[in-house]
Amino acid sequence: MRSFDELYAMYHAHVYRFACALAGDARDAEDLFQETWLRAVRASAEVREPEASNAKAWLFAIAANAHKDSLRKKRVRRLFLLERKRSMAEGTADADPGWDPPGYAHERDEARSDIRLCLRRAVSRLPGRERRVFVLKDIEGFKHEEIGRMLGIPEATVRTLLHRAVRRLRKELAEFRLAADGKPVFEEGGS
Amino acid sequence: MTKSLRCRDVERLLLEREDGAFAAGEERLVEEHLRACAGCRGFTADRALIRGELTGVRWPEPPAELVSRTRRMLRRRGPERATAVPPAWVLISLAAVTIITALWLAVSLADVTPDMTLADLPLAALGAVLIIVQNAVMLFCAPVVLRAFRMRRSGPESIR
Repeated sequence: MRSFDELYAMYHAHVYRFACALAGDARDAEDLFQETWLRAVRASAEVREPEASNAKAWLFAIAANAHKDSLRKKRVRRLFLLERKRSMAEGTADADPGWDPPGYAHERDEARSDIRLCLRRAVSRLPGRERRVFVLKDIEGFKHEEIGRMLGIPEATVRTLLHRAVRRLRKELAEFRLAADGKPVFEEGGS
Repeated sequence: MTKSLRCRDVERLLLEREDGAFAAGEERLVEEHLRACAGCRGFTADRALIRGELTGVRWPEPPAELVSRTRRMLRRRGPERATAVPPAWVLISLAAVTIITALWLAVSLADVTPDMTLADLPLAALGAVLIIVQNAVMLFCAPVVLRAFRMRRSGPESIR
């Protein structure tokens, strides 16, 4: 059990950060964090002790699967009206994954913090598969091939999902700029 | 090839370049396209902005209470043993029982026709129907029962 303790000590902050980036709000991030570690401790009896270099990827793959399952459960619950939609974009009080500590935005110039806010809302609105790929690539810095292995999808699919995610984020950025300046900042270059 | 298709391809290639998977010929083609296409230059600029902004995000530390609660939960549970594979004699016995039951069901239901009612069925056929219904109900309820059992075993400090 000592080795799992070490794994937890080494990676709990990484897993929490990943959970924050994936989840729509702080409560979901905490649930995802716990679910990931529970699954990891269950799986650790069945798989060989993950090597140090692979341990992070192994944990993130578990977290990504847990995220996928949680979104599916949410969809079912919403279908049967057991849960109301709750997302960061709706601006509810507890709907902040804590990407920046409160007050942090005021330390920067307003425009910069606004763009960051727009971006994080846009990321939280990405469809589940695109969000997982985007977060693994842009926030965690994994390569396409590694992401494909972690999520169990072909590398070409990873590239397609990332491309779609970036296009969606660009669209959100364009709308944000249009609202802020009253004029588009980039020219639409094809579809 | 249309311009929109070219732009889409260039955008994908630009994303691939971030992984270092870029041939020299492709690099030249992309650079030529970028010089001529303001839309793709905008894509490059936005991509850099997105990456820059995300790099600047200060990620929160996990709440201490959550970290200690999860650690306690993990220590209490420990790694669960992998499901043990039953010994060979158990598997062989189960297979034998399954085959014998299937043969018995086939023989018992051989004379049953679709126009017969339950009252018309011989005793052996009634027994066969009972076994089929009982198995169907068990298969339907097993997931619910197993889930309830697991939840009871996981205790009150499991996932909220």
